[in-house]
Amino acid sequence: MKKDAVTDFIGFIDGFEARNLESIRKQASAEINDMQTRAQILKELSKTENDLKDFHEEMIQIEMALSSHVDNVVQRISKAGELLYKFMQVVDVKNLKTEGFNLQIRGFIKSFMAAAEICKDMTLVKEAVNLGEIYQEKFGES
Amino acid sequence: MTAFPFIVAFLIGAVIGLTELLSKYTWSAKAVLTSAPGWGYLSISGLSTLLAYSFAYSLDLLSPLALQGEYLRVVACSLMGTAVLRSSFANLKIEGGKEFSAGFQGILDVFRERAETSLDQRMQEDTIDLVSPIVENFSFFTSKEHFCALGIDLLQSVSPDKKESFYQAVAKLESSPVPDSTKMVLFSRMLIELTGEKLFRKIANQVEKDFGKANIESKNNEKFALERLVELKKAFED
Repeated sequence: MKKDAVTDFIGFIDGFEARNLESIRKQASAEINDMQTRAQILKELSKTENDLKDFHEEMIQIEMALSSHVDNVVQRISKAGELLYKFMQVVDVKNLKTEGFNLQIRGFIKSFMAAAEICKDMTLVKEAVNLGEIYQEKFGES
Repeated sequence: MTAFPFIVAFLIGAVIGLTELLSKYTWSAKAVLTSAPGWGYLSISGLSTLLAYSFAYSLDLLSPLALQGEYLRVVACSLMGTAVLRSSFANLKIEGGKEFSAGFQGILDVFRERAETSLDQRMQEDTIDLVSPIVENFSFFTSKEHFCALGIDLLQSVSPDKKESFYQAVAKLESSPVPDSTKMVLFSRMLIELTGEKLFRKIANQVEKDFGKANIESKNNEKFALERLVELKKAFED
């Protein structure tokens, strides 16, 4: 075995992780862009539409999580998914009349699931499943 | 003049090349001696020493050692010649500040880099071939602690620093966004460096005996989550 590798386990994992994250970033870039665009639209909707005003802060947080410069690509997706899941848990969709809201949430979750499938990271996969299931539960459809 | 001193000079060079490679790749003499680039590097290293000895011989630089035995002369001359040929006194700086070794060392570096790359790949292949079938049914999430407890925790020869570095790497791997099976292979790749193949196999057998069921459950949960994701994704398709 290479002597350096024996003493530098962290370097070995760091190197692997950097290459892996770069590959995920490239492969999932379309999905991430789609989520970012939808998060922006949701933020704008929550600013202007009365029935969504209470959720403006949540939408800002989702958008910020996706564009964070501190977290890596997977952490960004994961945090945004977590925030959306929390929002979905508390929101009463029957009272939401804004046109396009359902469409944007559905599109966001669809892209999230595609990104999770690309990463194959179990945390993301479980979050994606939770999001898909809560969406079906709340909106009564897929 | 006999060919014998020249053969000895060549062999000395080859041994120098071998120690150079082994200083970087411990426990891998077999890999060095069974790969074409490994042999290529040993040969070129042997040739450089042969060349050094030939120069000394033809320029009659051996006369100060005339009273010594033939063996001593060839060994001394080969080592000194090699030191001169392979020293960095002829490093040149080119535009842009880049430095390169002029002369024979430059050629040797090319062969050494090729041999090292090939050895790296070969050993990586060997490790993956060895580790993958053993850990196929293990879940990293479920079994990492048991592997560590039976592996490096009890090894006195592993220094505390090395253990610390290993555990930090395992913690990093834990949060790495890769499938559990990949984590298990990478984890085993690191662990086997400390335990060696035989102990690693024994640990794997023991963990399978004690926690086989938990590992299967964990793998099934992962499989179920991935299947559910595919199902949901299909439902979300337009």
